[in-house]
Amino acid sequence: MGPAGPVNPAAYHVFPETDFDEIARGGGGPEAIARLLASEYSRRLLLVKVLLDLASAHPELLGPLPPATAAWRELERLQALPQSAAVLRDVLMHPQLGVWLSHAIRAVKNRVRPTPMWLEVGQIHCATFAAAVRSGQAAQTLLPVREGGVILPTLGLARFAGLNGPAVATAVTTHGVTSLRVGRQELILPHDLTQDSDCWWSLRRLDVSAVGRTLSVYLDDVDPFRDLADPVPPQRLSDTAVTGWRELLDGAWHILNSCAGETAAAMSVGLRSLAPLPESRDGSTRSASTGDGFGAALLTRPPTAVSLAETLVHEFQHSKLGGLLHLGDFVEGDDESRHYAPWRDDPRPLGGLLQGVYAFLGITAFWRSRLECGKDPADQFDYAFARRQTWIGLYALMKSRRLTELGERFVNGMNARLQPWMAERVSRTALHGSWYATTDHRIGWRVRNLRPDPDVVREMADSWMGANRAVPDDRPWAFSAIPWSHRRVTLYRIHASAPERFLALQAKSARDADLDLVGGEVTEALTAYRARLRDNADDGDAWAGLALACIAGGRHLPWRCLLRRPELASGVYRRLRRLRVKCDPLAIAQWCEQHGATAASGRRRSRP
Amino acid sequence: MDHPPGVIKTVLIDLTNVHIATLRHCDEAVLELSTRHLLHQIERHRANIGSGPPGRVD
Repeated sequence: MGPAGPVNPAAYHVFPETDFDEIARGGGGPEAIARLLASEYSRRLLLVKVLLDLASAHPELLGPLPPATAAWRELERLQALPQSAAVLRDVLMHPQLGVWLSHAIRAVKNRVRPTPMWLEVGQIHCATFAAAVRSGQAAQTLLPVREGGVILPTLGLARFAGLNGPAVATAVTTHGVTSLRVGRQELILPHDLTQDSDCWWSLRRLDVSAVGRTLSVYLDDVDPFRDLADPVPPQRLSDTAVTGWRELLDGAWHILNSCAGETAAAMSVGLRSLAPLPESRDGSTRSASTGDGFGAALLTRPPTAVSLAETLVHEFQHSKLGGLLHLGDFVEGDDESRHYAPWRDDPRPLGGLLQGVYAFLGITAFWRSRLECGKDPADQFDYAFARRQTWIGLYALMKSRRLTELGERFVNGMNARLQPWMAERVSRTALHGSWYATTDHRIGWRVRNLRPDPDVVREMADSWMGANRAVPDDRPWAFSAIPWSHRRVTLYRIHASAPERFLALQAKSARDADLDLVGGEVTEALTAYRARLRDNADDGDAWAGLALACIAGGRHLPWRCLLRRPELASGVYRRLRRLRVKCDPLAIAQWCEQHGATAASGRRRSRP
Repeated sequence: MDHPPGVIKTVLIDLTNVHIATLRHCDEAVLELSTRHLLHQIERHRANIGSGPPGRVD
């Protein structure tokens, strides 16, 4: 590192407006990502200072481990040496180190961790020791042992046999030999730390290349801080599984470089780590990331390279926005509002909605780029679906009054990118399917998350029964969690993208309402959903299906209430069914459409 | 400090060219604004949790 002066109190990071706006529009090239990384580095240093200052003020935070002064000295030493300065920076910029730093500071501030605090705070010594090992510098220190493991960030996990609970390891590295000792158990780490041994699990790297551009990421199954916040145990992948991941990533990288070159260029700079998640029971793909770990993503292994490419785009969008959010606030104050997000089953805070819209803007761009490359006409549904979901979320953001000036600028940037896309033509089945899929979700969400005014519901139910008697009802409003299968969205996709496959599915499956609805057998679907609701008034999937069958069948009056305020129709119907009143859900919806406005006048409407 | 036009000012102090030794002994007041924002961000820890298509969640 070259000459440097004191900390300039006026030298704050500035971010070029062009880069900001480019990122807001869903993009952001390598230079913009590099600027985000530079600011993330400042943030990491500040996190280190906060943590070590806390440890200096409260020596018990490091317990039996070397004190904060030792950590500072080692950091200074490694930064001052040309051979280790870049390595130290690389270790400090490791996404998992960011997760750990935030976790440790929260743990100290909140004092809620049951484990000894030195187990959390002492990871700083693991970081400096790892940097020393990597750069060939001699070092000796004490390291925390968590459930028999000592993590050396960016290198791997040393494993002591038979150790449960916290322990302290003496760690020495000199002349290329690294050893760790707890009591009589001594581990000599392999000379080549990229290779496993009985006591060492390396942090594997996956390097893939396409069109001359390389992506190099860790495939992390060992670092306790590879998850979202709290430490997790290692889950070692077999060599076969790693090979599978490498092949998938290679395919995904080729896809991204062939159709989304700018995205790939940015990822090659910013994406650093993938942490595999256990497979979902239902086989669905899951992914996650945290703003504390810029450039990292957790994910189940997707079924295809296309799916992996889409997931990488999704999570990298979060990293970019997370990096910007570290530089300034986009939402004013502590927002308690709750919003509908087309991709979530539950209400979302404004910040969460913002993250989701940005991620989906990236997904929309991905599918659009696939179409532009002429890859697969079936991608039209995914494009139409993603852009509609994005628009619905974006519209809610644009109506919000809680955005800061920076937040508004960002949202406007997203809108500027999305608007022209909304006018682009897609196939009729894709357009039709995407409308039904998003409407299906919205109705299902309202049924499950919005509570109509109980007085309105009671009044309307009483009116239906034609009585003015007061019906004793001590029971509190039951708003139980209603299961959600999301099956129809899959069927819409198949119907739009692979009609032959949908026909085959219909042929081999027992008849059911969902297949009938998506396949255009509207009368049959309507009958089936009504029957389901007579059996179970809480069937949220059936409410949405009923609404869509009404729309598809051209029945005007009932569908309006089911579309706009399904929670009112379902609320009234459920109350009547609890009172053991025989009634038909469609008739109730029609009743609500005719009388709902009157009953609700002057009262509160539905609320989450 | 005057910023050139075309840039967005942030609340994060620039430590990219600061020696760690200097940072260690830095007056807390110099870092106060950035530290305050940083701690607020950490307290409002948020993870992006998703599931695959359809119905990806964020």
